[in-house]
Amino acid sequence: MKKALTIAWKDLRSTYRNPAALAMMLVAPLVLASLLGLAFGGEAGFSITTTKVVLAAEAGNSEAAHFESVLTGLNDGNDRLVDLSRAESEEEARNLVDAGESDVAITVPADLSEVLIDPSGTRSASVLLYENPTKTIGPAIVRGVVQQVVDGLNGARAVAYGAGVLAFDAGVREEQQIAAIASRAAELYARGREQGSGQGLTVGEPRLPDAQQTKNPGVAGQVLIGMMVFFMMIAALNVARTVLDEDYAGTLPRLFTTPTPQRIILGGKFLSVFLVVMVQSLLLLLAGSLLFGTDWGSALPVTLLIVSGALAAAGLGVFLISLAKTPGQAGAIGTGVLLVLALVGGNFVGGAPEGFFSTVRRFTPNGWLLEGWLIAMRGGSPGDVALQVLAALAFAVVLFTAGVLVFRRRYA
Amino acid sequence: MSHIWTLAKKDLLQTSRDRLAFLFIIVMPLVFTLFFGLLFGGLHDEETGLPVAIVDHDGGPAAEELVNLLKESEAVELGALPSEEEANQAVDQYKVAGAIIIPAGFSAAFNTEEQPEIAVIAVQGSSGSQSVIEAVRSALTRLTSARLAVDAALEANELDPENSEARSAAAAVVESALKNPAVTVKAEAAGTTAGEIPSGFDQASPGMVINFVLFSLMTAAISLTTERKTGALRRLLTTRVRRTQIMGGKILGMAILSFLQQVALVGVGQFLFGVDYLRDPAALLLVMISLSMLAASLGLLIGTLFHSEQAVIATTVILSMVLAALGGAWFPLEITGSTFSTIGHLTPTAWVLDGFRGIILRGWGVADVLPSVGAAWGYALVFFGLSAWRFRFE
Repeated sequence: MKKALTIAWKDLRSTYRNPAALAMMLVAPLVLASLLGLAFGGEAGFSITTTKVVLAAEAGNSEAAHFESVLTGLNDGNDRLVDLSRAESEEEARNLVDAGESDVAITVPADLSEVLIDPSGTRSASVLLYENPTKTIGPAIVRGVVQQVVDGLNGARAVAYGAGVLAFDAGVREEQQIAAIASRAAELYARGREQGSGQGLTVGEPRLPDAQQTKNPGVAGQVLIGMMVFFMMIAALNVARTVLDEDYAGTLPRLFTTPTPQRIILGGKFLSVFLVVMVQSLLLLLAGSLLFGTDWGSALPVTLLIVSGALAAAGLGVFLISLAKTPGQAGAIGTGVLLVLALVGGNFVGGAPEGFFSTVRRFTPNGWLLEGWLIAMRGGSPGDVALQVLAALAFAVVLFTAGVLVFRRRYA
Repeated sequence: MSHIWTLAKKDLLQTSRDRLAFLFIIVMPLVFTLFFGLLFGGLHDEETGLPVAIVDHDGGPAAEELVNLLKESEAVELGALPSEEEANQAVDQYKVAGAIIIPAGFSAAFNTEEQPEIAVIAVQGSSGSQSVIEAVRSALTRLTSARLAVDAALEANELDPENSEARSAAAAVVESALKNPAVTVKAEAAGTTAGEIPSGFDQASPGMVINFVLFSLMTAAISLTTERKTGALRRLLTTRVRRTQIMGGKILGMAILSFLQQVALVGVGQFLFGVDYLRDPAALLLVMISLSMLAASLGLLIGTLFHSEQAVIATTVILSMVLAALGGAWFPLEITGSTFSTIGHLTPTAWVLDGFRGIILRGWGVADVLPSVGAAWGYALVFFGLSAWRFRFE
């Protein structure tokens, strides 16, 4: 055992003295997490770039003024969601979008007011949106806002008709009086809509069975955990690859000529993989707490996830290396497989996509680990992460056993 | 010139014999494109909304109407679950983007002060949570609008809200008017035919092309490092080939490899994923050549600065991921805020991606892609200059 530990310690030291290895294990995940955390606004969630909107309507169009007021009302506090300008015609507005100077052109038809008050109800009009297709979120928000305004206008028209019918049924015949009643109804409706908006809905996080309090893991934390798990697998692969490097260079066969049993030598090598990844994950968790203020969760679930994660990464690294015959092959095949696993497991999407992909990721050890980490970060207890930890350990055992069997046959 | 071409041909021949290079250069980008394309909406032939669970503890008319309104929404695809616990579990395990709980008593107390609130369960910060919340809000607004309109009509006429005859008369008119709105919203995307919607592959494909062109630098940079280590570069100096020709051969080989990679990926994107790269072939060719030169000069710089295989791999992986993320290859820069988007456009990848997306989504021509092309060539010249300054043959 002492010899295995000596070999493991030697490999651990040489790995942590290698600048390139340190860059891959520590610098890369922290840089990417910082970058993506900056991209998505840290704990606050998403923010988007200002959407440039041009409003095309004739001067004096009162409905256009209403659209303008609602759109500029989106710019509250420090967030400038919309940058609004006016154009005199639809053509001018569309040209601005085509030239890339605007993201959305809104054309308010000149006869909009007349259509709304038309007693016959046969006239119709459309508010036209012309959007920059390379933008998705901004135009979608503007479209939603415009739809809400239009719904309000249609609702006011409906209530005016309803009020008019009731007035007529009650014996009111003077047009002016009916119009006044209809107008008052529309005002009451608009006021009621304004008061009612945002009510009627509560939003909450899913409850974890044993958690006392559910926390929001935050964007930076979710991104860092995805990157951490991915680069743990990369680190494990690179350290395991030293077995092939030494075999290729001839130092491993020389070691086999010593009195130390083969199993001790290989055991020491595989132990170093586990230790390197353990140290890496501890350092990344510490950096995440200090740099991003990330709350990883309670001590016990975090410990379970670190250990099972290191074992799973080590098992995967040993297995992938066992499939290769040369260091070059190991690097290429291993990195390729890890990229696919990371893709399917959700390492690159800051959490996990829903539906079909949430099932598919469970075919990967990193998918289970990410699930476990997200639960821990949301305040999960050891019981809440038990299934994920066990799944990761199962992967570790199966992959490690398969890798060791191949190596034993190779060096028999 | 023949020496440059000979050296480039040698490098291309070497790479073509490496089956593993094929994995990184062609197979991996296709897998990633397919994955991210499906993730971001795939092809819009069928309607696909976010999977959302619904638990209806009420079952009354208002609840039923709310469920119908949600079913009409394109943003969500409803699936009924019998209990709140199952819905909670489904959200917790990311099987659904969110769960909607309609409480008992919702219909009976509808639009009154005692109306119980609809609960939405969603993981904050997950990709679908905001869409689910907005879909529910929108359906709730539409549901309450009709009732609100009838109440307003009654109040304007100073009629008793409990007058069922008046309420029915008003409701009939209001509901008919709401079902046949006089004003509608029509949306059109610039550069597309009317009604055409960009697909998830339109967003994902060009991003993955750039991501993996950068990633493939590894192959080229490693070969340079290996040749330096084995002394092959130094031996070349003993021949009649000049130093500039050696560097020229290296960069030409890398550029051609990168270009061929793009041809394969663009071809698959065009014919398999329906991404309209060929809207303007001349503009596309210009952007592809620019990206090739950018990638080649960056590969040469990495091979120049780093002398061990491990260092080259580490640098290439980190650099390709950082440039891809900053450039908008993984997610649209518009969702990152102004600061990040501005920083992103300091990278050449953002400009090249703008060029690709402009061609695909807006039908950009040669004149329109010139800023993207100019930026790529500018960076390429800087990288090449640095490489020439620092290049060592041993």
